[in-house]
Amino acid sequence: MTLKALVRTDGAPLAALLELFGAAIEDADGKSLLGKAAGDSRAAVLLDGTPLGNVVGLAEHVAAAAALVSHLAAKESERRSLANEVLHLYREVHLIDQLSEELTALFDAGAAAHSALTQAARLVQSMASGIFVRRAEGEELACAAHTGDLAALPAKESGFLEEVLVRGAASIVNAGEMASGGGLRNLLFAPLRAKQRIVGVIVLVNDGSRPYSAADLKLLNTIALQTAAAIENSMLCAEMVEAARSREQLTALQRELETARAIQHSLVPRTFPPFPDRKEFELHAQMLSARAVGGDFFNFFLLDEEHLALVIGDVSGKGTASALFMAVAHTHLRTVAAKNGEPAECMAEVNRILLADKASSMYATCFYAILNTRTGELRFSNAGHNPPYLVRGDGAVEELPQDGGPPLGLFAGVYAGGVTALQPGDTLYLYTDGVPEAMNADEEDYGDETLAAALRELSSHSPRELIADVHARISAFVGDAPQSDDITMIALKRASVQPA
Amino acid sequence: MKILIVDDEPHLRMLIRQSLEELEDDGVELLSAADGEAALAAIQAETPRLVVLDVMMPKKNGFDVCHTVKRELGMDGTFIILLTAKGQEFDRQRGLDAGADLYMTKPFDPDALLEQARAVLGL
Repeated sequence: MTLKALVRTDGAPLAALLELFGAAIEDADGKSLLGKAAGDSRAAVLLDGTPLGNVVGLAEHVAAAAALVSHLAAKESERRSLANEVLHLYREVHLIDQLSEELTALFDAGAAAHSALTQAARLVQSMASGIFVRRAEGEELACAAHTGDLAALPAKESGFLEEVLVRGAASIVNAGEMASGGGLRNLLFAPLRAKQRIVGVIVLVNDGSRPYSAADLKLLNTIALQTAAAIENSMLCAEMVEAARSREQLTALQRELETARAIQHSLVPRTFPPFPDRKEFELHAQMLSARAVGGDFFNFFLLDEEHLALVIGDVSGKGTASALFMAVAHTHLRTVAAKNGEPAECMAEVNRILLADKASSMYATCFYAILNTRTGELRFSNAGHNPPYLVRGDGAVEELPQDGGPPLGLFAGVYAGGVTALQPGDTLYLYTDGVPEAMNADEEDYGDETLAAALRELSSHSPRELIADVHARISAFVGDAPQSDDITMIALKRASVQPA
Repeated sequence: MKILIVDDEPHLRMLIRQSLEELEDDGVELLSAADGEAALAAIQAETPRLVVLDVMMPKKNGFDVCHTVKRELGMDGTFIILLTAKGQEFDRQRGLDAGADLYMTKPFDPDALLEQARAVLGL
């Protein structure tokens, strides 16, 4: 990853960022890449500790700008390595596909049958010939290869071919009446016998001028014996290739799901408690991926000393595509959140970005809030997400109002913002639809009512205890039924006793 | 120089883009479109040197896009690679009739695609 590549991918937001700081970026060789520097102080842009180049500008701004550019570089590098991993998987799928195709061609029953007929034509006089095979006892015969006019061969309805299968012996029918071709023909039949099974029939036809002899019959029988083995092998081989192919496809699919899960989990916080030094609030979160990975995401981060940002969301669809969309939406929101003030403005901005480079029909529901950790004021905006619950210290449970707008990436819309206050002892509980829609074996939902009732009973719990308890209740409800969707929960509690 | 990637599957667009990404270091710009109509608009506005074109797409299929570009607009300088699912061999002729320069089947070989793109762009 180079700064040049970053400029190429994230040019527009990067330019805006640099303009804001009156700064420019230059690569490791000191070559200016983007922006106008208002000063000549430098701060290094680092990726995993390695310098990529510098931000140049005023002394008081370069450090912050370099930190932001470094963050963008880290995100872009992460996206690239994931995309490369997916490409690598695809390359494997292509190779396997290629190989199985070549194998199939090599053991092609039609090719074996055709070369047998070519051999037969050299040894026994005929105007037309054909090989008819069946995959299993009792199945219909199908023409694997033929020479000359197909209509000159005995039709399946004529009964000739069936009779050879039943009797399992070679035969001559001189001056036999054809069902389809009309007129008299001489026919020579031999069964294709592989081990104990008759896989088909080989038949030769001439125009009736010369009757077939016992010597012809013997020759055809020899050819039939050899051909039968080759055809039987090719059929077995085709079955094996088919089975191997579906196994490989299954493995590839399995790996794709693992990649998706890895993407999903790499982007959410994993260390708890996340802010051990902060005594004025307590925070805990949990995400459980369903088997067919969904697109839940969450995050939280301090915007400054007294503002904590919280995000939770759910991308439409499942699998790698939604995991990638989630990564994109998530990164945009994080970047925008760092610049903008109000949650409603952030939502509008992210929605605008997602619609501008709309790469798919996907969209995400999302709830974004900023808590003033000193006063308890909570400003939020809801993009079509399940409204979080405010669990009061006295056990009262309220849904937050639906102030917000449409899901992100769906269509252009206006986003409203809401304000509420967390009193000391209050808990904000955020969740994705996997919670109320958790389903038991009788296909009943856990339900919003049950959830609200549980929260009422758990109002005095710490965030960690509350999430563990709700999870236990859902597990008990669901029982042995498989988890159908991701289940994500965040609980944020304002400490009952606020530090002075 | 520009390359236009056209596929209604965002997944496939991402894979094709990733296969060709190193060309960006040579100053190549990678563009994408998600359906036939958008592809046609982009081809006329951006005149890409190479178009990687999926066949089965909403609004306008790859054959029609190819036919319009090559036969109606006479944009002979635009190299078109048609990409389609395996096993529709009779389509090959239809693609060539529509004026496609090359025909590749999915799953495509990322390395072969990159090599072909390099050859077309003279890199």
